[in-house]
Amino acid sequence: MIVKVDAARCQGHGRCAVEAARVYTLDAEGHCAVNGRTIPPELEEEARIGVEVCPERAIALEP
Amino acid sequence: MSVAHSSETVPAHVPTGRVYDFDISHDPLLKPDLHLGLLELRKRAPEIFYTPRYGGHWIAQGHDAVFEITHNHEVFSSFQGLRAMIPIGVDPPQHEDYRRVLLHAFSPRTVTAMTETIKSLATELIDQVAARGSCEFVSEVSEPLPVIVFMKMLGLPLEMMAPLRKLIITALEEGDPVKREATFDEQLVMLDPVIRERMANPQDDILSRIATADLGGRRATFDEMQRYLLLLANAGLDTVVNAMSFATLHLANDQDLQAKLRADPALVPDAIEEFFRRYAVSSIGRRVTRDFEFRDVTLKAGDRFILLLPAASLDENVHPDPGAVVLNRENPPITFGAGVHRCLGSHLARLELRILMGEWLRRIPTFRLDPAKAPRSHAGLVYTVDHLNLLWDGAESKP
Repeated sequence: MIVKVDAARCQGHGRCAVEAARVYTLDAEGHCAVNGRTIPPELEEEARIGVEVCPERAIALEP
Repeated sequence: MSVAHSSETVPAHVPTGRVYDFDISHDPLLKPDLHLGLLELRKRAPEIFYTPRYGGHWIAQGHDAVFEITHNHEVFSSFQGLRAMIPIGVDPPQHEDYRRVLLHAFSPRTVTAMTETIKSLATELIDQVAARGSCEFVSEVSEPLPVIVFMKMLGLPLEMMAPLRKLIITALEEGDPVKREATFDEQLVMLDPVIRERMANPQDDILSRIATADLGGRRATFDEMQRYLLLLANAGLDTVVNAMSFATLHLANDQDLQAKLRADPALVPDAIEEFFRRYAVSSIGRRVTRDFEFRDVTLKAGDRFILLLPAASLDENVHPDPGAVVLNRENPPITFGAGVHRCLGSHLARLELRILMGEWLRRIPTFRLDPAKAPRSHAGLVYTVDHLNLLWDGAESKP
């Protein structure tokens, strides 16, 4: 599973990094910094939490 | 109800089917229960409608409409034509420089580091009322907790708390933007000396951080300091108070959920999330910059919008059975707005509510509304609980 972050949508609210800290990290400006990262199976559930809490709908997961 | 309003407050480009007379501050529909009133409003009026009140303005109450508006600052400007508060009243690209100054102070990391401070103040306030068996929750708990925390963060003297709160509540109840502006001037009479002092002698607080920040090669002017502080004070010294009060009011009426949270405190964060949605308190404004067709509505340059976030968070298309309190809903709430202006203080608000609710349930036995003193609330740009009298086990109502 791969995380796709739409940089144009991400506003740096940081919800993903708070609620699913093992998957999502932020860059210095507070924007989601894991675009393209491969998610190991044991973290897939946590990755989904990040998708759900993002107020900007900026995160998607691809197989 | 529409009799008192002549057609001149409904411009020619607004079709009759889009007009619904709604007073954002004093509508009868919002009595006695603000949020139940909004659920009714959602049935009576379309997702975007025009009210002749306060000189005439649009109201967006649908989730998707609000989401789109907050993501289109070229058409829907945050600049309201009056004094532009910083950063909420400034559009990109300038907005970014202004907001950046505040990011550190409200980041999850900074806020999380305040956990113990908030917890100790929360327990102190709760312990003051615990043995009594009753309290007026707003003045004794939900007001002092976030207001003291935030005034200290900002660098405002605590003696200002009562008079400043009074002016802020007046400002946020006012539906007329011009009259509201006058109440901001009153606030500045109180705040100006603090601004001058921090500009001259910066301390370790947010005001000083703004005063010494790099705004593209220059420092903030006095006028900019005023506009920053007005936003911080009016957004930060009221909203969390009411979020806490509405959540606690709900629990006083919902003994099942209260028992469930006592039995499993790990559910408190999910409950807080749902209270944020079910009882959103803040609405925000936008102004249309050019003639525009939006979701089958014709808009003209200069049209004003109120984004009724407390109604949008009750949108049944996004949150099925919106009046019910359901933990772990699928979609995040739009309570804090969306887009570049989304609430900067949401991490702080969330932490404060989680701590307060956790400690309250741990220290106070099963509580309910005092039957002799009904709670009171009022509408406006921020939905406000005026009084919330609670009793807990073994206590009798006192006159």
